Amino acid sequence: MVQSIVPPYLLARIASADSERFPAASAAARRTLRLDAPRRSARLTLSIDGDTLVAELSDAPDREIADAGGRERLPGRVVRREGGPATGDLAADEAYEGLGATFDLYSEVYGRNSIDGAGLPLRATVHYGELYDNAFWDGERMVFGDGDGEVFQRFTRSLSVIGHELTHGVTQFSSGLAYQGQSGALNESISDVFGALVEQHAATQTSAEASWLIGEGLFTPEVQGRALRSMRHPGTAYDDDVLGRDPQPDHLDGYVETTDDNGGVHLNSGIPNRAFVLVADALGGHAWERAGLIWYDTLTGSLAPDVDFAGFAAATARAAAARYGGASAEVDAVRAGWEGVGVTIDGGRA
Amino acid sequence: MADEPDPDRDSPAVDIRVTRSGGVAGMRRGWAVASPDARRWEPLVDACPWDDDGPGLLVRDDGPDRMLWRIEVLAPGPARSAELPESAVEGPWRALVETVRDEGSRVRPEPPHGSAGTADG
Repeated sequence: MVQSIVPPYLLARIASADSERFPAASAAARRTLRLDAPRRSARLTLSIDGDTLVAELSDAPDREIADAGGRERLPGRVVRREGGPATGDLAADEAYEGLGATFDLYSEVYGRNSIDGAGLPLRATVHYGELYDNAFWDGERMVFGDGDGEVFQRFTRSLSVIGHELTHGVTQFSSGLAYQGQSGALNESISDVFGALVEQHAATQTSAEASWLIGEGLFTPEVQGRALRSMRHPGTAYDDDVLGRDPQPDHLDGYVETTDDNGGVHLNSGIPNRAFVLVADALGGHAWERAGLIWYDTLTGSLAPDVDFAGFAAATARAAAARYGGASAEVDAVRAGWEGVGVTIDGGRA
Repeated sequence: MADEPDPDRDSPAVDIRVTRSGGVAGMRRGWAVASPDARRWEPLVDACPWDDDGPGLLVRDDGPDRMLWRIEVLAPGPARSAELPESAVEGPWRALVETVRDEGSRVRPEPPHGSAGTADG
């Protein structure tokens, strides 16, 4: 069996190949190219079954990594495209691999072809700005700074952060959760959930084995902390004399009303983050399977952009019931998870 | 890592505080300048367009995980403050912020602006 990731130009060659020698492969390639809007990569798997060549096409990422060279101008100079060799630059290669791992989770587990579900190319820029302490999704691409070297190291070090940023794109193309207040905290939490799941999926970890840390490895050794956030124990990720103590609440009782940070979206995300971990722990096994499927169904369902915690919780219960049945262990786990963080599902309905 | 401002300076001629929130880290970082040299800092402060958009928050359309900056000048007077999305910290704002970061002290940030309380769930 030969397995390869096929860029569009090669698909075109296969499509125009001798259709009598390779009828299945050329037909499949033509079919893929017809679906292109405007370009698309696919993973082509060829195998021999007796005298027959069997061609199978599946979704594949189409990545493009650019280097901003320390400036705050996008996109920067392209340094690696899909299928290209490693650049030798850690940030560029980590971004490339991280985008691939994120694509794989969405494609293999949830059947989603890239950010928009239709094969959108994955673009990222590294080395953005000078001593830039951040990573963000700008609506079209993921952008990664190198960190200041005192508190933060380069942001591509963390696979969960790469998954987090790409998931902002998925949210943009699905529910479009408003980035303010409770819906903004849910937007953030969903990015943390799938960022953690990308890391767990890549390492084949169960819920019990996972760290549930977001941004582990980003701090320099001088910082007293393990990560940016702990999904299992919000409020415990760091306690440093300069950074202060991790301010995330782990229960609705600690909800922070603030004008900072778009209404505390990175603070109050601790509440739905912990709810997800409680659900994943209750169900056991790989969190990207049942718990992740319920959250994915919810995200891609019919959420209002300004949904609050209670509305989102009710939507997860409905998603669990739709997939696993109203009297299922999954629905029970979802309800218990939200109750564990003080969020009541309206009227007790699943 | 602490590098606190000098506590012996009472009512300095220059008292400027810069706080950054948001970003993927969601962390608050703070820097402050306390100095007797008002003439050094007044041009930097006065160059900023404090009144262009009135008090309070300016546009917040930077998108997920971008940072927000709060800039407070307690002295030299008059006292002024502004909150800016990351994309608006350009020109004189950027000059002021970067000078405070370069020449001031890192300070442990205060709790998030606002108050902790119970939300409806």
